[in-house]
Amino acid sequence: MAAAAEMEKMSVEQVKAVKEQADMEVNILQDSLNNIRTATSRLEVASSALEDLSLRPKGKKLLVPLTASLYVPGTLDDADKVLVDVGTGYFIEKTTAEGKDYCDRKINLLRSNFDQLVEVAAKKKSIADEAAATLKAIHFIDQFTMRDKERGEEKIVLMGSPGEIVQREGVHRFKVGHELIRDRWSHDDNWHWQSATEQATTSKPWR
Amino acid sequence: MSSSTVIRELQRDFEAKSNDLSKLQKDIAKNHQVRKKYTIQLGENELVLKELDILNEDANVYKLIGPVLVKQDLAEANANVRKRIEYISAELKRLDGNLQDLEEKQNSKKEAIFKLQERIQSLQAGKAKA
Repeated sequence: MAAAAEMEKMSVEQVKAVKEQADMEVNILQDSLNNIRTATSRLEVASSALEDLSLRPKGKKLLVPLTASLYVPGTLDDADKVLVDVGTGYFIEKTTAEGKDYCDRKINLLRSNFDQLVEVAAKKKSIADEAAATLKAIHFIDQFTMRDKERGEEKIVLMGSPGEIVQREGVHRFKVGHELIRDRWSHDDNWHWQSATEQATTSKPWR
Repeated sequence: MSSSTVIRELQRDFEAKSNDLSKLQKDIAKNHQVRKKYTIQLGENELVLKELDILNEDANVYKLIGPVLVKQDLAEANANVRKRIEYISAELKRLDGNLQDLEEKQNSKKEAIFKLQERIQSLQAGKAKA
């Protein structure tokens, strides 16, 4: 991913900023997704209400809600024509079938928007995760160097130009110039990156 | 002039510039808010226009004015919505220009502040040595 390649050149602060930004955007997108979901369910309710209405014969007695708890009796006069609120204060007279069609169209529109948003959100999320992983790797190296000072254990210096972040095993990255301690009780002479990151993530005891 | 008075002078300047910067940032946030509002309205109006466009000529259109629904001519409603979209688009464009202006100002302010900070620090370091 292009973003990941760029992140390797960034400083810790920059990566942090990227992560914060991405997290924020993910949250906003998540909110939007929720809004779309509620809107869709409202339209579905409207659609089923129309369906319900179209089944009732003319002249049928019913109770009309004036408030949430007050109902007055009425008779169904015309179930054929409905007024559709299309927004910004405009209402359009439609037949029941047209009204249902309107609801279905809106639902489809929302669904396609929803799918698009999910894609965008997933992309943002992967950027945020990428940044988090980078930060974790850098933090991990810092801890290693601290331990090193306390114990004076064997050190491994990463090869490469200083400040460069090398990538190993896809996710974990290390800033070159930092020093890594080689695990003393490791019998693996071919010690490699992967084992170091595993120690960090599985928090293997140090003694 | 002694170095401490210079530093004090610079710090005063620094504070003034920081205030300016936070004012700019507030303006930008406000701009974002207004723009968001207009963008939502634009989207809503476009949806309404799409609905109006697919209607038959003889369709009944009503407009909600206060608590009453008033019957309206389809052509009139159409023209109304179009005009609104035009207005909102123009407003959005204006806001965009405004925002760009503000952001440029913000960046130059940030740079100025950064330079000031550096100068203050180097002066303070020099003083500490002396």
